Amino acid sequence: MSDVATHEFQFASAEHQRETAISGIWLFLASEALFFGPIFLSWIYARLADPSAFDAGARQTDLTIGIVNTALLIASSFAYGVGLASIQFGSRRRMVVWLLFACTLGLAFLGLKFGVEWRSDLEKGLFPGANFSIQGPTRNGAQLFFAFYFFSTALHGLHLIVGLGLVAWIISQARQFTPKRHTPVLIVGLYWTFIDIIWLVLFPLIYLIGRAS
Amino acid sequence: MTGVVVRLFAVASLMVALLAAELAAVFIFPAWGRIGVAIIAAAMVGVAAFGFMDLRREGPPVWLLAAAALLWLAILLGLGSLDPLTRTLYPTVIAAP
Repeated sequence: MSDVATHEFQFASAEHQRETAISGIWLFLASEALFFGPIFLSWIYARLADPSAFDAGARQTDLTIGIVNTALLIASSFAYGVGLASIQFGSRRRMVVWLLFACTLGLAFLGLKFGVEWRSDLEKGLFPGANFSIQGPTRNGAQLFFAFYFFSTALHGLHLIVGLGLVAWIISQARQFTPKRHTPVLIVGLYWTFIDIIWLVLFPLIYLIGRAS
Repeated sequence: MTGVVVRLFAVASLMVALLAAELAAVFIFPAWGRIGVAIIAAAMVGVAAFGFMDLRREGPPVWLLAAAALLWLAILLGLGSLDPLTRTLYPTVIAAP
C-alpha cells in the first residue's frame, strides 16, 4: 500500500482531516469527563454525609491489587505510545507487537479487578444490601462507599473493554496504516490513555483517601 | 524512534514515582494526608495528558476542548459540592415507641 496521505472530499487537505479527527476525539473525551463528573460528585456527597463510616468501608478494599492495577494501566499507556511511535517510524510489525502487549496489560487489569478483587469482595459480603457484612455504626456509610466502588469500577471496566475492542480493531486493520496514514491509531491511543486517567482519579478515591489520616 | 521510547519511558517512570509519592503521603508522611494525595493525583493526570496524549503538540481547538472539559468539571464539582460542604447536619432525636 502506498504511503500517500489522502483525504475525504469534505476536507481541504489530509492535515485538515487529521486535525478534525483529533478535535473530534477530544470533544468526545471532554463529554466523557463530564460523564464521570457526577460519579466523582457522588463520592463527595456520600463521604461528607458520614466521613468516618465511609472511610471505614474504604479501608476494606485490597490496596495491593489497586497499586498493581495502577501500574498495569501506566505500563499499558506506555506500551500503546511505543506502538504508535512504531507506526510513525514505519514499523507495522512492531506496532502490532506493542499494541498486543498493551491489550495484555489491559486484560490483566480486568482479570485482577473482576476475577480476583471483586470475587473476594463479594465473598466477604461487601456488596451493598441486606447481606452486607459490616455491622455497627459504620454500616450505612460503608454501604455507600461500596455502592460507589462497585458502580465506578464497573463503569471504568466497561470503558476498558470498549478500549480493548478498539485496540483489537486497530491490530486487525494494521495493514492499512503507514507513517503518513495512521490517524485511527492516534485516536484510539487518546481514548486508551483517557481510561488510564479516569483510573488515576478513581484510585485515590477508592483506596487512598479513606486510609489517609 | 529511540528518543520517543526514552521519553515515553521517562513519562511512565515519573508516573510510577508519583504513585509511590501518593502511597508515601498516606503511610509515611500522614501530615500531607488527603491534600497531598489530591495534589499528586492531579499531577499524575497532568503528566498522562501531556506525556502520553501529547497535549502540548496539539493546536488551539484541542486546547480549547481540554480547557472546556476542566472548566465544566470545575463548575459541576464546585457548585455540586457547595451544598454538602456548607450544610449543617443536626442529629435527630428518635422517640422510643
